[in-house]
Parts: sequence; C-alpha cells; structure tokens
Amino acid sequence: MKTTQNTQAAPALFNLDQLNQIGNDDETFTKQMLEKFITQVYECSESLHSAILTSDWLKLKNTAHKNIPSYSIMGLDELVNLLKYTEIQSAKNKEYNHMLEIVEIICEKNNTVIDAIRKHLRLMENGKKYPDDN
Amino acid sequence: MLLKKDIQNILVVDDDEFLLEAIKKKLESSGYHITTSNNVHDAYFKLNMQKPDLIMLDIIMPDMNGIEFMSIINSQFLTSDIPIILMSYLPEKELYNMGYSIGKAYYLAKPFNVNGLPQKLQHLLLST
Repeated sequence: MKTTQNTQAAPALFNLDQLNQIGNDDETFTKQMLEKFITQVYECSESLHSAILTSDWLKLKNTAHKNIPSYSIMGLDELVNLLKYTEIQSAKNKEYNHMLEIVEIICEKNNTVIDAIRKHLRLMENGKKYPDDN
Repeated sequence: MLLKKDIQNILVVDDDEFLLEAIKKKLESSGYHITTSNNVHDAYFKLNMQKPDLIMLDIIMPDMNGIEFMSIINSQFLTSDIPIILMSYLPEKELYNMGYSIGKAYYLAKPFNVNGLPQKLQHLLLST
C-alpha cells in the first residue's frame, strides 16, 4: 500500500490510495485533484474561521458537513473526526470559546496538510510518484 | 426496474467540488456520461437542457436543499419521470423528523467509498 509515509516512522498525513484507485493511477488526474483539494482546504479554513468569528453556527455546521467526504477520500481521518465534531457541536452546544479552539486546531492541521500536499506535488513533478520512491 | 442500459447520462449535484470530480471520474470509467453541478441553479439549467436519465442529488446544499430541488424536478412535466438518488449523511429518520420525505427517490448514505459507487448504483437501482 502506497501512502505519504516516508521511510521514518512518521504517521502518514494523507493517503492517496482511494484517489489513485478512482483515477486508475492516472497521474494527471491525481495532480489536478490535489491542486483542487488545496484550494478546497483553503476555503474550508477561511469559511470555518469567518463563521466562528461571527458566531454563524449554521455556516460553521454546513462548512464542516460539506468538507467531510473530500477529507475522507484523502484519508485525513483525524480532520474528518474534527469536522464531524464541529458539525455536531455547532448544531447543539454552540460554545463559542470551545469551538474557536477547535476551529483553530482544524486550520492549523489544514495548513500542515497543504504543506504536505505541496511537497508531494513537487516530488511528483520530479518524477517521484511517492515520497519514498528513491 | 432500471437496468444499466437504461442509464447513460447522469447529473450529479453536490457543492463539494472535489467529491464531484471524484464521482465523475469513477462513473465515467464505468461507461456513464456524467454532468456535474455544484449548485442548484446550474443544475436546474443543465437538467432542462440535457434531461438526464438519472440525478444524484446531495441533500444539504447552501442555496436550496436537495429535497426542495427534487420537488421542483418532480413538478415539471418534462423531468418528473427522472429517477433521483438523494445523498446525505442524515439518516432517513432524521430527514423525516425535519419534515422531509424522500418520496419515490432512492437514498444513498454518505460517506460512501467512491470506488464502490458503480456497484452501489447498480445495486440501488436493481433492488427496487
């Protein structure tokens, strides 16, 4: 199974297995989807942030809800759980300080994911399909 | 009963563009012709231009939810016979509690594995 895991024991940030299978290992498709996903992650962070800062609970709930399937395809399990939690909490408890903290955690993790995907795209440009291809 | 030969053109409506592209790629590789829309207004235009054989419709969308859009589709003479698959994380019971009924539509629970979608589609359409 190919993932973004490198040769050290660092946990994989994202997993391209499902995406590669969807595209039948079409590298152009994978690149296009990764670029699209980066844009979507930026929009997700921006939308979550503006929603919590204006206490727009419906927007917060809908943003979290909308992004779960894409994050699932990318194997971002931890972020999927955070988004699911956000969706539930923004419909029920609506605790501003707690949710602000959660949103900040999501945005920070989103930035890490974007960096990792960019790095992966650079590796692909250099002819390495996976970071651990030597 | 709808068999695959009856379904060629599918309109997929979802505000998650990444998911839309993934669905399009997978279903096209299984021989379907896919049109996508990331909002209801665009979907309405494409629906009337192309009259698809099947519509896959997300329920939670920003401008209008999928069930409201479905009622518009069902109310038009030219589109009322198009089968619809509603897609959602919300269980059918919760939809009912919210005052919605999926009527004669099929229901596809999210999240689903996109790679298994062609089989899932066939199973859904053949099971009724």
